[in-house]
Amino acid sequence: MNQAEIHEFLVHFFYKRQATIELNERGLLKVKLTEELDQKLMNRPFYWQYVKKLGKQGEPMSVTFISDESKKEEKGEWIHYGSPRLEQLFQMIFEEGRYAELYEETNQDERQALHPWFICNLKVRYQGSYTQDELVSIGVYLINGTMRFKMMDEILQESFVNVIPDYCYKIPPIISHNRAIQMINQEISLRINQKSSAFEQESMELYQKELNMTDHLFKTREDEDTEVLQKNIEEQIYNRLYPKVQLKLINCGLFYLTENRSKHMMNIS
Amino acid sequence: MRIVIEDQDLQSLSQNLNDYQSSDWDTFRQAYQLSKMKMNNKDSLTCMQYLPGLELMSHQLDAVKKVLNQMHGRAILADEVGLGKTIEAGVILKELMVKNLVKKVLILVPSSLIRQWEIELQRTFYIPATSKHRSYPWEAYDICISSIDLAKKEPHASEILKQDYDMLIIDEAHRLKNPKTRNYQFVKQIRSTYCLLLTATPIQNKIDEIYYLMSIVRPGLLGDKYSFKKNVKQERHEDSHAIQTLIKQSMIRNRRSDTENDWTKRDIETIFVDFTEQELEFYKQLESMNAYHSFTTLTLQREICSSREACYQTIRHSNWDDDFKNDMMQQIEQLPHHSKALKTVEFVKSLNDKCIIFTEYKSTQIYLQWLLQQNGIFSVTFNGKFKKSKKDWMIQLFKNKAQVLIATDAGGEGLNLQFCNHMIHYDLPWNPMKLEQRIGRIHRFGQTKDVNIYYMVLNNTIDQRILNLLYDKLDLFKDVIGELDQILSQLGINSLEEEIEDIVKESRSEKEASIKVNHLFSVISDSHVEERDIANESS
Repeated sequence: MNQAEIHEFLVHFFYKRQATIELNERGLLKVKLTEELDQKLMNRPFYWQYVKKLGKQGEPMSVTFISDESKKEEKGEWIHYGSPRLEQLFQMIFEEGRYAELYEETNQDERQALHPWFICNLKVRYQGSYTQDELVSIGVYLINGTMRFKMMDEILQESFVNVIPDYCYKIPPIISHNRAIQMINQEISLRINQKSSAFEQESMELYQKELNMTDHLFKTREDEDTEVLQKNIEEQIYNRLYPKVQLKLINCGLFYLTENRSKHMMNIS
Repeated sequence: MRIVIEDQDLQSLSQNLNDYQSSDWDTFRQAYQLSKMKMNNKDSLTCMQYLPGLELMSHQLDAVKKVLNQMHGRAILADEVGLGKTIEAGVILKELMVKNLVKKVLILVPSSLIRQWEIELQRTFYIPATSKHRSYPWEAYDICISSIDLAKKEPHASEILKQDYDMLIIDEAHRLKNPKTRNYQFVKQIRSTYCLLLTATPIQNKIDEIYYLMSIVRPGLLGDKYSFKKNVKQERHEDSHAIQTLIKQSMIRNRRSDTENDWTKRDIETIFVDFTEQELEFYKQLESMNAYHSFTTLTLQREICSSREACYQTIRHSNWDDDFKNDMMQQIEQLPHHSKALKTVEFVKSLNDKCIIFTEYKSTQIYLQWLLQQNGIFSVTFNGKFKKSKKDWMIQLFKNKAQVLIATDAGGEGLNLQFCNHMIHYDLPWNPMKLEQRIGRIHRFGQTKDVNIYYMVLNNTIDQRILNLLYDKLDLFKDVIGELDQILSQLGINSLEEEIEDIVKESRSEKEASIKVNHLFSVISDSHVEERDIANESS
């Protein structure tokens, strides 16, 4: 996200969450927050606590966000990529968007079936001799267990809605969520083990070398320090260098796809 | 397969799924896209895109990359004064935080620097670091800044040792190099995955010191104590560089001369002052006492060249017999205002710009402040004994209101005063390192103007002798100044200051002293050529 895109992002973010846009010009946005947004963003719990105690209607704040360099001097919050405020908004999106049950939008006026897919988006983090992230998006067809990688990228441009469209009916899943999650876990682990031997070996060597150094140190030394110290050091080395892969969930959800798309997904996997 | 796969997220997902509310497609998709944007690549510095206001100098960028990629997050940052070690540490910390490898951080710095670290981390790096407050326990902090002096005391020490930190940063880490001190013993026990030690002087006296710093950062890298000592001795004979190569594995040391940055110019001017006859008479009288005790004499001479007050204090607390003492004290009381001080005030007036005055003596500091005030010049004082808040306040005052900051050397380390570009050395320090430390306060990263340095020197006194003996020759080792400490240690010299004091004391003529100093300096600058890569710019 570059500096020019931030304004658009902000407008979209606040508009979508029902804040009142009071001023919207290039790189400068003044919004009146809703009560919910105020509580989440403005960090004034006491205010809201008192208001509630007194049984009154609180007054959400108006905030000005500036994202254009030339307007930096004006009164308001300067927002850039990496600023804590923007991070806070990102976190809200992550929090809100971690689960979904959605139906593919379709305009046909014939009766049609929608097929259940479980989609799971993960950040796979390799950590050892280096740190590297990989984005993995997997879909599991909950009827026969077909698995599809890069799922999200396939459907990113499509439209989904929260309520089942007219004339559509759901095919009930045969495979449970939990089973799907298990399958995903197994498959990912398998793939990680298959392709990360270079990473593993590199990290392992580094880890072992560092460990030997410590070992040697404590073997030859009689003068000071204890087992505790050695244990601390070994732990530190393990944390930094031992090859580890962390599966971090971004979000997941139950998606009902039209028959065509569902077939298409199965064919290209 | 020995790889460990941490899949707690997926494990717990099965249980929690029923509690989740469905979001809309737009938000779900946005969460995915934002995550994609925040992916880390193994060779790139992810955090820099979060810090658009920060521009790193090339040596800083190199240092950061090296610490992260080759040293795996444990290192000694030993750049020379003013090259921005704090910035390097900040970027490394930020990167590890962005990558989610670090959450809980302990930062131990001299108490005078706590506030500065706090501000720097918050403003430059958007890292929510806070200084330790007495009413909150250590475990309540994610990113905590404190002083080592507080931290090592009970009950704090045992509380800290119970914590598992992700990162430990220690500024001015040369305070750790004596293994017998509480500082060292304490720090060694702190549990932390990543660790940065910052010091401009990794070796001050003996090469052993680097051993102890290293044993905190990478225990075992230099072997055990005995084999290390043996190797050092052996290397001296064989002219090998094995130890240096090892040290470089975990230490970054950039020198001013290596950096590509264009440093602003440094102009040095000496201002000569004459004692009044009355003062000179008293000075001569001190000189004639030489026979009794040369050390005291030298001290008193240096003091009277600074202020009557400094000299008076020493005599008052001396163990001389009362008559003599009272006589001397009375004589001092008769003296007029100090010539050098008057000249300095006059000079500050004509300067009409912010300036820092450094003095060696507290009494002089107070006297100067009074004298400036009599002349309508607002000044603030600064010394190491001030509380943190008072120091902050003084610097703020200096920045916004006062024309002059009068400082003693103590407590000066780490101060950033680059908004000022005049510095007056009211007393000349006898140790060139000290001079460099002082000048580094203003001649550092961020200084945009040429820097003006002034020496105040009293004609025909010890001031002038030192100027001739030492300062005129400083050019000889201006390239060495950063590594002076390390060269001295290799020569077995504990303190350059004492060495020079001895020369001045023991030489029977000016000529002899001059020759001795010449010899000392040529040894030092020769060593420079031979020894300069012990901890050289990292390969």
